[in-house]
Amino acid sequence: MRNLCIWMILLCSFGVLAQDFTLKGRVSDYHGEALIGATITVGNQAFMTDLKGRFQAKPLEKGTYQLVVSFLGYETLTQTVNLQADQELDLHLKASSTLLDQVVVSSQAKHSVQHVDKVSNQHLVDKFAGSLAKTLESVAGVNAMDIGAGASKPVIRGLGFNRVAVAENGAKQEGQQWGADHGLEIDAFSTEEVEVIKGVGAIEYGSDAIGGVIKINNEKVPQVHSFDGKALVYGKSVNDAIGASVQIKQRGERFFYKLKVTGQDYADYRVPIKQIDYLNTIIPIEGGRMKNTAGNNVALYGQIGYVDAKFKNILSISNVYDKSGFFPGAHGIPNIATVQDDGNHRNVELPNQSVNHFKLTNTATWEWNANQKLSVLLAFQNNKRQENSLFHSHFSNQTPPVNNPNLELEFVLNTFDAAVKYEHLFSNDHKVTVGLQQNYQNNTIGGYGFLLPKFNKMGVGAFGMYEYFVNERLTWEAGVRADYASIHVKPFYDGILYDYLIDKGQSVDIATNYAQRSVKQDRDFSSFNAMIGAKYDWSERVNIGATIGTNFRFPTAIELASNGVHHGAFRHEKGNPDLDPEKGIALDFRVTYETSTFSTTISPYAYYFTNYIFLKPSGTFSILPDSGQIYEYTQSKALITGFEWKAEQRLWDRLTIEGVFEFIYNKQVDNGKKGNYPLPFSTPANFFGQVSYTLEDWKVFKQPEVFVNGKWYAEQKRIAQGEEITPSSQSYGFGLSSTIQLGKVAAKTSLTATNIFDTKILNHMSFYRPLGIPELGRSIQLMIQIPF
Amino acid sequence: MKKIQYLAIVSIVSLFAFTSCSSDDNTDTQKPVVDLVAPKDNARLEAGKDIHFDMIVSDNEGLGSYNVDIHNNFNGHDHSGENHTHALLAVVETKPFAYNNTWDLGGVKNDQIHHHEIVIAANATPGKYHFVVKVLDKAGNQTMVFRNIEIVPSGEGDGGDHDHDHDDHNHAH
Repeated sequence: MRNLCIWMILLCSFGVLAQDFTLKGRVSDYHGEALIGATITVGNQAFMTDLKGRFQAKPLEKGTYQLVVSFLGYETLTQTVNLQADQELDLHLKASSTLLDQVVVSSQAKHSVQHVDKVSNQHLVDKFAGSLAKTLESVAGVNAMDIGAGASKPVIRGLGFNRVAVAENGAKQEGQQWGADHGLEIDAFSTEEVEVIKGVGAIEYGSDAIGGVIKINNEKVPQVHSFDGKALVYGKSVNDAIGASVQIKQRGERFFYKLKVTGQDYADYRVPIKQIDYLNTIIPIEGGRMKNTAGNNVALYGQIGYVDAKFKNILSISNVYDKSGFFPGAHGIPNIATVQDDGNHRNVELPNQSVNHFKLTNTATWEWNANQKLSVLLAFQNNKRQENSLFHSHFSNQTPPVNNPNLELEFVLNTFDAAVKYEHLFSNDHKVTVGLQQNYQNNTIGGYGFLLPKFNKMGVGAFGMYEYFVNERLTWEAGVRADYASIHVKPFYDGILYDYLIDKGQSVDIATNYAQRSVKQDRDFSSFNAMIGAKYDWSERVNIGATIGTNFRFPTAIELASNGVHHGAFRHEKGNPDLDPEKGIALDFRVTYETSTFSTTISPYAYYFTNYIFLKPSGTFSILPDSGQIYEYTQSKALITGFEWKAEQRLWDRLTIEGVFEFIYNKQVDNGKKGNYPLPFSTPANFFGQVSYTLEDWKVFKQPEVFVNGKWYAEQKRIAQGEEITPSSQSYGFGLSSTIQLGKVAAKTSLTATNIFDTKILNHMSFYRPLGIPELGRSIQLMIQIPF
Repeated sequence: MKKIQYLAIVSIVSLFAFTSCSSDDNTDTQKPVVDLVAPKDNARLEAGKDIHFDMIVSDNEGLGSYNVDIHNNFNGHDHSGENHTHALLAVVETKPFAYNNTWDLGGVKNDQIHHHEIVIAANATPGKYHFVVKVLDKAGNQTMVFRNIEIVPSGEGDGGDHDHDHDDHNHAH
């Protein structure tokens, strides 16, 4: 008994002594960013992290405890702690892919040193404007180059075409991005999250990311044992568009799949004008509709994935098909007869284009622990683009081909990508990422016209990035990258052209010269790039970020070796085999001020290129018929600078006022001629403002909201040779949206009107701008989304 | 802290200064002005004869060159059959007519071009053609004017309205 008592006392005192053990730590995300207010449970204690992500448990006895850390938007972390002494833990939570799916994140991402704007799928759907690039115009600094009503290509800070890299699930989209009359083949409804990276993006994405990167992530993993889907229908009055999208995803324990189908059909679009004056010809616009601008597209998306604690593999297959007509009054010589109303606004006649983009990507990711991650990407893309136009002889001796007589141009581009990336987080403060990327391309041609020869291209790039989280307020990032590429252009001899020129009395020399449309070219390129950036939280409210780095772009085959008449642009475009890789230096700076009701960001930037590649009018006429002067690819020093400013004020929890202003100035610094011209397709200064008001729930209408907005573009009189001055314009819109709750069905519905005064607006960046064709007229759009 | 504050302000201010101070350079984006007097739109020009070409051109800086391009529009949608009779009437073998030539304008600011150098081949296939004139200034700005013309067998043309001032035809530069 006595012994027992002694034992009891000893045990108790031991217990009292053991209570001195403390358990404390810090919770942050994978990037080292503190998570404020994360819930932690240990034994029977529960508490939250403070403003710096730190926590401290009440003194604990020696023993084994189950530690659970949870935070909205992150995967819950469960860890066993064996407490033998005072312990300090460094815990990292992984962002949860499923929960974020429904959260609208359109503000600046907090984690990255780079200038990133995140846009969720919900936001993209709510603001849907006909195509992905057009919808992304709501991001400051992003504009769209329109090709009619259903296709557009993204422009970031006045840089477009091959100067914006678009990556889906890590694989860079490779299509015909060099062509002005060609949109981006990505279905806006299928995207789960889009990030726009402005400024220095070259380190991770390599060539082409000069203006920025549009990073699409469709690899969000659904929740365990879940099934959900979404159906969406929409209609738009300006081009009688009807579209529908159905998406489902299901996950068991470890396997999941997703299926997405989107279809859209639209008629000739309406413009607020009666006629176009093009090349001294008055082309009537019958019924206020742009003849033959109808089109349709179908996008299919399938994904299967496997996820366990340490390994994840996701295979995605997609096919995007798009067919649309070209306005015949302006394809080549104006022709009044071809714009006469044929009584059918939905048919797609000649001339037209069709594009099919097939893509297969597979991403495998190993995460041995929270600190090490390896991912392997394999991708294949097939892009087939056809431009059809009623066979018209450029050369009198040319006869229509037997097969596909109206196929003018065809390009089939195959791209294979392979990439390995390894991320390592050392303790809490340092992160290193290294990667190796390989790329192979093969292009074949067809059709009775000639613009671009066959070519093969091989590229390899290696990069390393280092992030140093100095403290809660300061993060540094630096990166280097080396690239090598070789391009092999196939020769092309045009016998028809030779015979034609000889027949026209040209000398054998000139005829041979012109008939050799492309010569064999083997070029090797290499580039070395570096960047450094920092993000600093000056105070609770003020954040500063800056990056400076070099950018590059290898000349494309079209820039090196094109040689033919582009009928949409009405000019002879000629490549230059002596081009060097485009090199630039980019400086991006931003300051954000944020309170609970007000936020504002200003981001000035400057890019300088030692050899910007662009099409320059040569002042010499081509001897090819129907061609005008030769535009030759040339290099010049160039400067692009400007800023974006964004502000948002919330009042009484219901009223929100927001504004985005953008200003761009650019010029060719030395183009070898008198005068320093601006760069073509320059975005004019513009402002977008919106006032929105959230109403109280009323009967079945939940969270109803009304808004009014306006967009203003300044006059663009800083034009390149061959461009026209574009006058200033204003357009206004309004809309209302609400979730309609009918029993268990909650349908998110929105009704929006754009260009409500049916104003004639010219867009300086539109493919149709040189022809004097304005933007779409008044439009009313209804969108209904039903989750199930 | 003060240093960063200073740096931030300086970099923003300098960027603004950069963008606003650079005076705009004397670029020329004005296109040449072209008044194509002849041929008129829908002119009926006879095979085997010369074309009366008459235009007044000017530019703010200086003219570069001009080009005349004539090619057939047989495949155009706007001649639904009615002209094919001409082709059938032609007994001799005909050939679609095409012409492409460039003349220098030597940098002058104004000029009047009037010549008869373009001769339509006698065996030119009758039908609809495009007559395209392009004028470049020294900076590479281009103006294009085009006419729908029709080539008709000898004797069926518009006739004498282009015979009035044959005296000064060698005006081309």
